[in-house]
Amino acid sequence: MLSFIANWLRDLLTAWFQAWHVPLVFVDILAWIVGGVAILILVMVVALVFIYLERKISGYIQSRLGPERVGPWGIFQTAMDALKLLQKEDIVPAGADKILHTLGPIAFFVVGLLGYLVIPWEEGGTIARMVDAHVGVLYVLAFGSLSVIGILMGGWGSNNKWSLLGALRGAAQMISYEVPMLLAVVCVVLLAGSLSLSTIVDQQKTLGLLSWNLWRPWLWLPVILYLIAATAEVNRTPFDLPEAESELVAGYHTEYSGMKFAFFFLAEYGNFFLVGLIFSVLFLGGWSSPFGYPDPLRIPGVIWLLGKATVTVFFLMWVRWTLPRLRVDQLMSLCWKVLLPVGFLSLLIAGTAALYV
Amino acid sequence: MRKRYGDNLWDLLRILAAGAWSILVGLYITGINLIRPGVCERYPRRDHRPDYQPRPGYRGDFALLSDPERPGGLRCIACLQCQNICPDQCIHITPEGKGKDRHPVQFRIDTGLCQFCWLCVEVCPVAAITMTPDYETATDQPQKLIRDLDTLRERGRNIPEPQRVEPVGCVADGGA
Ligand code: SF4
Ligand code: SF4
Repeated sequence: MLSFIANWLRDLLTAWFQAWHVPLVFVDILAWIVGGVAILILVMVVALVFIYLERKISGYIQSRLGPERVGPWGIFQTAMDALKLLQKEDIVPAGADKILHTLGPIAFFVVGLLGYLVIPWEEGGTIARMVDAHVGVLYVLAFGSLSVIGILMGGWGSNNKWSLLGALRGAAQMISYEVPMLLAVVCVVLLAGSLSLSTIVDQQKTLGLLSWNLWRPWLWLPVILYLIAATAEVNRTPFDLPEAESELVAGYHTEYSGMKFAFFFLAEYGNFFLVGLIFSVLFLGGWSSPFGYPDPLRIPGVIWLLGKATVTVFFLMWVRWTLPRLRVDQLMSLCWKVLLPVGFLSLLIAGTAALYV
Repeated sequence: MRKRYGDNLWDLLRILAAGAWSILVGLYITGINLIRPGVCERYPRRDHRPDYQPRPGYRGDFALLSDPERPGGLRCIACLQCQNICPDQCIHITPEGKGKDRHPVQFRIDTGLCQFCWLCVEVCPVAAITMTPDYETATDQPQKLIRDLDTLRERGRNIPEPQRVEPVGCVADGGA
């Protein structure tokens, strides 16, 4: 459906531009802008929805009600919060590095958006086709780890010890957990024989539910590894040390207010949803329907993908409100002493499976 | 050297298994809580339970019970025991009359100071003072929190007997 709309728009634009004698390269530029804006809107909406969901889920888990008052069941609460943040004064602390302080949330947000470019929304439906066809997995992981730069900028530029400590913790944690996450993803890549996310989905679509990577026993270790490492990668409990409230006030965004804070907050949920998307692409069959290919229900692939990602995100939220936070030394020993060896082991298992199964 | 967790592989595996099991147990518990129907009242909204009443024993606003046969029309014998026991000294009584005719002519309770400890209700020898389930006493003027004799009498007019239910979690009955 998405590619249908995109193609229709492109044909329309091409016809117009030809009629007005505009060089056709502008069609491509316009298409990229439209795609970018679509993703921006998607991330905004997704972040608002998931912040609401998170507050509701945490409420119910703790025998509370969560947001209740704005709109039916409080569904407009996060939208109102965003509006409130928009109006608030933007405070830059004295002695802060103004440029870095401003660039931090922007870098964080933009890098968070870039990962969405290579997600295969449905058959052949990515925004950056060329990248996806060759190195989609690599691209998405590379930009996932780049978000540490935004965190460091914000933490350093704030001229605040808590921000700096939070940012340093974030850097250490994200760089460390990158390794087991890569090992987990490499297992999938080994079996798929391709770095393209679309190809990985293509190989899981034939039998619907049954051909998901999730059901292959030699990929169970990578599944667990990926979930753990990705939770650490997006700084969520039990790995939310960069913003540990009880120790660091709010970590790297302590000194942020107004829209800059909102950018950090939205981008965090954007990254979080990206983790859900990548997990569904790698292990849950991406856009393909769980009832076989082609989809007997004729539901657009993008809906399946969003649904699967939502389920993943829900699971991670559930984990978040169950587990307490780790200590810094536990965090590092878990990564280097446990996850890394397990990662190599799973690589061995997946490699063997790729050869003999 | 101090032995640490995870020094040998067997230990490490055991700890990992125990950790994984405890995570599953935790997920089970939070999952149960997630789907269990909540116990919260959606307080200012009445559309969920229009007939909502606080639980028996709820300590709300005060009332003085009436007795038409006594002077002043109140059960209260103005013995000042509630005034003396009140830890926050929020009861102020002006008594009048002697012997069987003794009754209060002024009876003020500053509910802004009150901690709703139930001591005054418990100490009263004739069960003249009680608390009603009325919980909506919020106001933006502190003076409005002071109850005088007329208000208390008006509130107690329709209460035949004081609440007999012991408050939940009262120290007197062992903190049940
Ligand atoms: S409930 Fe306690 S604090 Fe309140 S008036 Fe009675 S004795 Fe005083
Ligand atoms: S203890 Fe009872 S009878 Fe005595 S003054 Fe107080 S309310 Fe009146």
